[in-house]
Amino acid sequence: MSKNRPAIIAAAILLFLFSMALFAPLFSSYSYSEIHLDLKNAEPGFLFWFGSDELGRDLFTRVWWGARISLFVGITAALIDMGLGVLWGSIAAYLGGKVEETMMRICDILYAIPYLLSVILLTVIRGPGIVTILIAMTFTGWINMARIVRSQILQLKQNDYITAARAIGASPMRIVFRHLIPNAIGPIIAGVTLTIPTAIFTEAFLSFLGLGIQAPAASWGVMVNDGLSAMRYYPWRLFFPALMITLTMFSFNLLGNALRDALDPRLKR
Amino acid sequence: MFGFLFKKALILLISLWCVVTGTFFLMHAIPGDPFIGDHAIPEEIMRSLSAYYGLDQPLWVQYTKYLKGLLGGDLGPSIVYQGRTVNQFIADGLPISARLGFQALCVSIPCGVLLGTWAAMKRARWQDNFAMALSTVGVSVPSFVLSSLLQLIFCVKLHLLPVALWGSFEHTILPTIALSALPTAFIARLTRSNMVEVLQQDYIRTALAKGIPLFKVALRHALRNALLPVIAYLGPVASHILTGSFMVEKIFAIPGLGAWMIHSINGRDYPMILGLTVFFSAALMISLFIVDLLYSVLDPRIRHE
Repeated sequence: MSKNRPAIIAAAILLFLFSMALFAPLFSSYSYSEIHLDLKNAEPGFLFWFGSDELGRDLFTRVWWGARISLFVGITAALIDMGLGVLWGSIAAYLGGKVEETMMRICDILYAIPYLLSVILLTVIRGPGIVTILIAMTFTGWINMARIVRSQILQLKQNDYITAARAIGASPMRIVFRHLIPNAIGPIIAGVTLTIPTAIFTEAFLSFLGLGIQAPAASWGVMVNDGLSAMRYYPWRLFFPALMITLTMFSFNLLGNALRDALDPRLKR
Repeated sequence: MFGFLFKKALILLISLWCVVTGTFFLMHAIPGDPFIGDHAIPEEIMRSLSAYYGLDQPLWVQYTKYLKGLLGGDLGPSIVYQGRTVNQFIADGLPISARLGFQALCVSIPCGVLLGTWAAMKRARWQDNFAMALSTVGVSVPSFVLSSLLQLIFCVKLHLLPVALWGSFEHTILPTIALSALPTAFIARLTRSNMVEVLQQDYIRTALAKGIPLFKVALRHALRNALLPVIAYLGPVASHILTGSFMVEKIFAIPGLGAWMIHSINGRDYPMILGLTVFFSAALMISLFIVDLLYSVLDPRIRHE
């Protein structure tokens, strides 16, 4: 892992994106919704580093506000998915028998529902907003994690130290949470890292359709949608948010793949 | 074999029923009236509209009516485009979307398999790193970003291809590229990891020891086994292409089904959203089912797992 150059580059890019998302809006002299009608569609320059949009809002500030939203939505959704998935998968795998059968059938049924369609549907019904997006994305999003955790625990359950723990009278809860889950942590982390870019993409997609984050809040999806109509004359309005979405997803994917390869002994050679 | 088939088919049916029922009741739980628009509608007309769409009946009556319609292949009416049904929109839009999706598959499967095989043959060398970096880029660029980028480069700057709309073959080139990038990257990564595994098997070493060149071994001996798991992933690939088509069709102004889905969402045309969702879900689930079937026919090991 430490020798994996792409992973280190990805981590560095992410560190940069995170610190810009945290600090750039604080030090900017504009706010994300501040309108300067005399400075519409300004080119990137000294006044506006990334240019301005059709209402004269500073794109630099807006892009980093968008980063906050995207990173927040992506990470929160991935963590909720992880929590639900770990709980569901470990309970199913530990209990086994009819319970496991039923729990995994429920997974199969929910899994067959196309992800993006259910997300669109739930956002249409609940109306736009961050909470809606999170609910919609995690509604079926946790199933992948539940499957990963279950198959990991089924493997780990065979080990002698679990038998030993049971023999000295450790409770099932203790065995699951102190012995099984910590040993399955590698694939779980890789899974979370690979869920984040999907969630970021989904948020951008929903906002792009007008179902996600609403104006005047700055989301990358909204900004790309705005920029698309002005691409011919003011390409920077499209360029910067598009670049940031791509860069963020790229880094998370790179990091997630590196983590998975490093943690999966089968692919290590 | 039949037990396996039966179980899969049962899960498919239950999932479909869940989608239909869930979508139906959620759509009817939305507060507000679909007919409220810019103008006040007289009481009389409102009543006859409600009666026409069956909205004055109790919910469960509407539900059974809807289910009956579905079994007969009727997906219901559109409210925004009055007098047109969802079936008509599908009849108009599906051939276009299907053509685009088919072209995207024709591009992405060979490209992805070739790229993945190449990477596996040159494992841990710069070609491998390059191919995998390319595939990570392909997975990471959202289709709406790629579409607009393609438009900017090939239409606005170079004036080579039409910016949008539907008609000749030229119109399909950019949407096909935009649609196939993600599946290509996905298939390439998968092919590579399977190929790496297969290339380490004994029968490959035997073939190499006999003096057959590596590329011939890879194509004639290894690829067959490496491609099996790729078939299992054609289902997710189909869903990538479907969801990709929503954005690609919107950006390139193509009158396909994806574009109608977006229109109906933006117009809050609830019966149409319901109908299209049911149609898309059914199409995806059935294609997943067929892929599963195909896979279990090709690889008998899977049935016993």
